[in-house]
Amino acid sequence: MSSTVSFLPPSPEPKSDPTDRYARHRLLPWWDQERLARSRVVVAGAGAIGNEVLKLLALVGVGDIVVIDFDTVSASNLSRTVLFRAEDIGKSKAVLAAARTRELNPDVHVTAIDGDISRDLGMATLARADLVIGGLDSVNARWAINRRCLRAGVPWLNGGITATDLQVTRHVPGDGACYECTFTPGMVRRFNERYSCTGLVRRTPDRTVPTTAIGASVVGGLLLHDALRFLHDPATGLKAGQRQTLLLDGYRQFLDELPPDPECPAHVELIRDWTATGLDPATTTVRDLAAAAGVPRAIAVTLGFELVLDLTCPTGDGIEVIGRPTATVYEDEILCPVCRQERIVTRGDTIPLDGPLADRTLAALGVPPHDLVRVGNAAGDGKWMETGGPDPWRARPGLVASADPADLVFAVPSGL
Amino acid sequence: MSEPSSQPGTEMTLHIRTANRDRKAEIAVDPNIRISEILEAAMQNWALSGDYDYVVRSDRLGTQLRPSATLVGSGIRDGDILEIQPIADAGTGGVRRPFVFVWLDGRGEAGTPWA
Repeated sequence: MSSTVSFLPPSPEPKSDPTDRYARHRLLPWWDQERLARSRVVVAGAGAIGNEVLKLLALVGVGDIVVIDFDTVSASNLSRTVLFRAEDIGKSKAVLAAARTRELNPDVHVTAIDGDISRDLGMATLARADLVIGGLDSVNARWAINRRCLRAGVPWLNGGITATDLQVTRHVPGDGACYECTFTPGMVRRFNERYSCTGLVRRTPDRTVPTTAIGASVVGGLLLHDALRFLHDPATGLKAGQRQTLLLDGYRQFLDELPPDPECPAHVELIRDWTATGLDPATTTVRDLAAAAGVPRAIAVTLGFELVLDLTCPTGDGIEVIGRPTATVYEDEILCPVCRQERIVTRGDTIPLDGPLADRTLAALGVPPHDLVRVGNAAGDGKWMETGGPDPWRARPGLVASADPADLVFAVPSGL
Repeated sequence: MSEPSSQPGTEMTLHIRTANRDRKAEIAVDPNIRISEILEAAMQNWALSGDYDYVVRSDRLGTQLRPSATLVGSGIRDGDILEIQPIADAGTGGVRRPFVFVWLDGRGEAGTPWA
């Protein structure tokens, strides 16, 4: 029996709009430009990897981006960061990166938060993201974003580099290993290096690891590839708890399943329901928020992060009420200003309504806009409440939190 | 639930190497020793850089092995290859500074300071 193969005449080329910047994307059968335009992505870290990720998010047309970083640009960043210039040294990475991302593609809305990923991005803001992409440089920062993503129910991609090794891991709440499941004794040691035995922050120099623009560029591409797959269809791309490793020197690539740890302490309850209050943390006290919640016989408000509540002098020179996030209280503050003895540190995430912090504003305690706090009573009943204030997503363009008032002029680039 | 264990005295032979394959060795070990002990021995023997944290992976299984698990509990068999891989966790360093919250509105006018 003979068979023939008949070639059909080629289909006509699809007509493309010469003014459409996404015309080449639209030729990909699986690509959905409109879906990307509707997507919300948080970029955690605006360093070498974050720069590459932001550049690519802008080029592919992801519609709504929040970038968060507390660092400023230093000279050594300039060899690895495509969005920064020599005149940027000393200025906020997040603000600059947002402005330059927007220059690449004005269709894209970008908001900068010049702050700490462990508390300055509200939990409700995080929960409204489709995906978080992490280009972070420490175990501590990854630990923080992992915990917050698990609580908010948002998947995240963890990118990391050495001089020649690149890794991308997909973490999905409730499915596969989370970042903390993979903690090794060495990672625990590095995590604890940042804190004294009283839990206060040590003034230690940042760890520096040799890296190049090449690694950042390639891992940025790998992160975006998986992000695009995820945003189109979460069942495609890396599996939950799977890590892609690319060894530039060894010309090798492999995929590893990371073992989930059933006893991982990060696997806390997902916050599923909350009530939006519209109460701006800048003007709302802890007591005001508790009253708005309407929880019968409320006794306390629990925040999404830990505070140093007070410092008590062991020789009787009094109690100093602190009320600042633990990550902002340094170990040298522990000494009593009167007797110079080490004071007893009281830390916690819960503000009693009959205590001295109840009349402080939420913002003074470090609670950002659109964060989630729980108002509870002695019977264990409670309610999660969303703070109000400016919304970093598209609803409030131009929102910037700056660490330095001198940045303010720069912090509002036109069109941001 | 206890991990599977092997009878004492039944050593297994394993091949260990760095993932970039610039170091390799053959080892004879008790199947009940922990992955962390293999890692520690490899780091000492090869004087691996202390700049990184390392994990052990199995190419055959396509998994990273938990440091606290034993070889037999991890499903490792006689003759397997174990690879030592640094955890890539760098980004960029920067200048950390004290944080003062200041919010701006969309037109660039200073809003209420947070603290």
